[in-house]
Amino acid sequence: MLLQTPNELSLQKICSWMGYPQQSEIDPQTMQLAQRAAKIVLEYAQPRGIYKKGCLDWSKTKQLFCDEIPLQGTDIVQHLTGCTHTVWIAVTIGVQVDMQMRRLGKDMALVCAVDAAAGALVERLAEQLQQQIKKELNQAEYMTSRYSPGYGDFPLEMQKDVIQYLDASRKIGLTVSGGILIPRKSITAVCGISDHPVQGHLAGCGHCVLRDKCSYRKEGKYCGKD
Amino acid sequence: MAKTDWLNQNQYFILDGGMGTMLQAMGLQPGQRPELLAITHPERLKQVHESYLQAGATILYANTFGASPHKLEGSGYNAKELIQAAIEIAKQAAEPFGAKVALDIGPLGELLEPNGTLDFETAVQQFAEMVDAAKEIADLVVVETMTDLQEARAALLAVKENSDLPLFVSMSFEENGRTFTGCSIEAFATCIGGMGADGLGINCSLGPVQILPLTKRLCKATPKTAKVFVKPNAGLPDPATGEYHLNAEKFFEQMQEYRSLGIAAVGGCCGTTPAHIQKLAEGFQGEVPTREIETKSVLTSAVSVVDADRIIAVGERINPTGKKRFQQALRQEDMDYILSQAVEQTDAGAEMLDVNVGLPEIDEPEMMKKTVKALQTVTDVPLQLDSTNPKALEKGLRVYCGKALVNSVNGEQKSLDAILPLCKKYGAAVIGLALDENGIPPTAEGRVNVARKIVQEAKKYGIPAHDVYIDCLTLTASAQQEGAAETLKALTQCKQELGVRTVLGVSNISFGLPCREYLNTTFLTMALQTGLDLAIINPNIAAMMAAMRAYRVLSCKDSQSAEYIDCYAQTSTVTPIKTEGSMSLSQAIEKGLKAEAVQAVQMELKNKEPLGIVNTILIPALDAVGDRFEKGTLFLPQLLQSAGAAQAAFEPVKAAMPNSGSDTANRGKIVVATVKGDIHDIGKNIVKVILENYGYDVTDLGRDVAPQLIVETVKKTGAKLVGLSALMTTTLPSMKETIRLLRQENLPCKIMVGGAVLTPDYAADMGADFYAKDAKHGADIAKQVFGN
Repeated sequence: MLLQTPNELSLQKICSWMGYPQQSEIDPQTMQLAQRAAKIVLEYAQPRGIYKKGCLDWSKTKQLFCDEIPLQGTDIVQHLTGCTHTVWIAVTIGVQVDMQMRRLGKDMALVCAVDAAAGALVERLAEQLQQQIKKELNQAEYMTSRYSPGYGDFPLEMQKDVIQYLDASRKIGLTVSGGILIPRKSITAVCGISDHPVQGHLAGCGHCVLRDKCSYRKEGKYCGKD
Repeated sequence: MAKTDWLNQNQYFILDGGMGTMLQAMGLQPGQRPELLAITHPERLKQVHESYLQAGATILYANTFGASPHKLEGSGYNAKELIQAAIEIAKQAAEPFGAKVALDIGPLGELLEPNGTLDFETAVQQFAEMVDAAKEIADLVVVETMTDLQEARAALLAVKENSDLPLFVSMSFEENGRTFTGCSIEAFATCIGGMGADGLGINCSLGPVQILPLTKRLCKATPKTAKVFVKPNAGLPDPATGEYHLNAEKFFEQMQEYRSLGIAAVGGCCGTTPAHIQKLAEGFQGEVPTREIETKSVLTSAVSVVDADRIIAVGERINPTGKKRFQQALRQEDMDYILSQAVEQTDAGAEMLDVNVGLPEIDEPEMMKKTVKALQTVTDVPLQLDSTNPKALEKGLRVYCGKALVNSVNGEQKSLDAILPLCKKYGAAVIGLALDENGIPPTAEGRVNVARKIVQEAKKYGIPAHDVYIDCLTLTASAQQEGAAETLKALTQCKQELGVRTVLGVSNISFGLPCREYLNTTFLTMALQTGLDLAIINPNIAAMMAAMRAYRVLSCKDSQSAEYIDCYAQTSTVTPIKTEGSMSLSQAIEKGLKAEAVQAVQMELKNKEPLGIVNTILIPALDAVGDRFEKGTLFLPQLLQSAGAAQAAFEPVKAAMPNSGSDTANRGKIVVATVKGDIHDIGKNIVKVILENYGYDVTDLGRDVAPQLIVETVKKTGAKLVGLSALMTTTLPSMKETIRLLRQENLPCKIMVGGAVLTPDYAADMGADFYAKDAKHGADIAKQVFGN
């Protein structure tokens, strides 16, 4: 399904994704760079998303399944604890933005800015889709935050299962090659659904591959929240 | 009887409906592979096929949609056995009904280059294995649900090169008439129709209502040699459940309008059932009405279609003739430079690009392939492949996604026999030079005669006159002043008498004379007035593009002057005043201001040696920025903007060096690459730009680079430092393998590695000499390695 492209993107967020520390004052030139990047991304993005509800099977002691797909790792089990169902989601902003980034060639400042802006957009679209799904749930249903392959010990290889499950290449043009989503700026994720309020347990830093050098962690923060 | 004879009837073919829909109703779970049913539950497949035959289907798609070798890995079955089993089941069902059975080929599930990472020949090979399994038993091949034109081309070539079966190809479009990768209906029809498919269609994605306007376009654009067919879904799916709700009656009601279009086959896709097909079989009977076809001379990429009726500006700058910098780029395989020429020309307004990479000392076929592939990553204007070497043309045509223009053949039989078959196979149009073994005929009549021969020969290969672009040859006015008029006379005659399109390389007119722009624009205007369709020009010269755009206004090709206004309404006649030397070079670099940096460096060049500027200003300024970055008082975006300014300032410095492009500023050779399996190359590109700014000679192998290629390049260049990047944990093993191979070969080079998931410990474990935490650190390592 087509998703609505927002009218603007947060320039602060783009700058912070480019490596500007949060809450620091941003110089006007970098601000301008972020503005140019946002304009390119908003012009070329073709946002699409898809989701599908699945059923969790907790009956096997050693392995959690969702519609016969085994969910690998311990972190995802923790995240979905208390849930009976899931919603699988996939979001992409299309191949055009990828080409625009290649076109910019050696203008690395702008390439990085566009990369950051595209990342910010796809995140925002995923959030938008989650909100929409939430609205469609029964009053007695609650939804966790989203959890993506690659978080904690939930393996990147699960992307392939998500895409196949959602038929995402046919429905929204999202494919995976060797663990890389194409179009590049895309998200696959799963949210848990429960009949009582749940938050989900986002991956801690325990299993994160970036734990030794993460700048958030050094600042005592956590990537799960701004 | 030829295998395509049964197709030559003018009655409707009824295609079947949804297979997945039926199998799911029988209990197939999402995530299960339907292809395995051919062996595990053949009776279920047969039951589905029979229900469609009873409904009236005359062509069945066998259950082989996803049966590619790659997709079946790990399933315990191979493609050949599943395909043959699936086709046999369909044939058993079809025989009593006299129906035909198709090998059904769906997408491989990975995007091909340039949008994705899958190599073109790998895709051809995957499809070829499927075709090979089916070629003796299937009645036809259907390639369906394609969204990437390049993948559809790969499948088509696999079918044509491995069988003589008829071929139908259908793609899935969104309501805007484009696929997910941007391919338009017209590009699909032109390219796949031109490459010889017997049927072109639209399937999946939308219902009959949404597909109707798209089908009308497809009917107009599809060559008369091919049939048109549709297989819509049963309406649009419910977003929450993914289910389809359009029942057979309503579906058929919506299909009514299709009966007048002249389409030759109808069926259904997702959500359709035998009930839907039965309605179609009852409604679509008898003779197929005639289809209205719009014959146009168009050239396409997957995304853009250009129509020669509007006159086309072809950029001439990708060509080494007389260009030292371009020759150097070819020798060093400096793709960045070549691509920058493409981007510059398309930004200036070129609607097509001529691609000539011929130099005596390089492997032209390989270079053509590499360049055509690379160009498609940054531009979607159609390409004109310029070579006299058939091997180079074939390499380029094979990987070119669209309908290219081949530049060129001439009236010599040898040239025609070598090149026209390639044009036919790859669906390309062709430029015919009005000369032959006796040279350029001096008179217009002589040139028209050569052109006539070219048109006749092209026709023998099935290339219509409107796909032949005759070049009546621009002679240099300084040498043959009367030649200009003769050329234009020949051009007019060719167009009127032969039904061809015309092309001229315009710039040659002014060779050897001053103020070439005056002559070029005037000759261009004269030629347009006499019927020129394709003008090969330098689009970077504003006056040339202005002449093209102005001509379109005055000849009513630019409706309501929309394009003209769009281009020139904002043109200000006042240029902003810049105070010269208002900012020093170091300041400009530290602040990351490109234009100011270039201006400042030009001032410096007036009284300083180029190398002195590099060593005393550029590098110290970069060091200062790097220090602040390290201390955390300046951040990555600012570092990159400074690097960009230094890069811009470096260009005039290089140009001013006594031996431009020589090793004067070279502080050492470095090879960089993002390792096999990984395509996250932003970090590597940043490192490269910074290293180049410091004066290192960097060979960039790009992304997803095989270990062996890195080893070979280090050997070839003698680089003393190699930089490898990887972003994902899953690609660290291939980084390790690259290091192992470099060590095994005993190459005297140091290795630095970097990337998000790397740590100093990992780096040491893998046997790297250095771990670079960022680009600045990478430059420090280079200084240490080279001792400068």
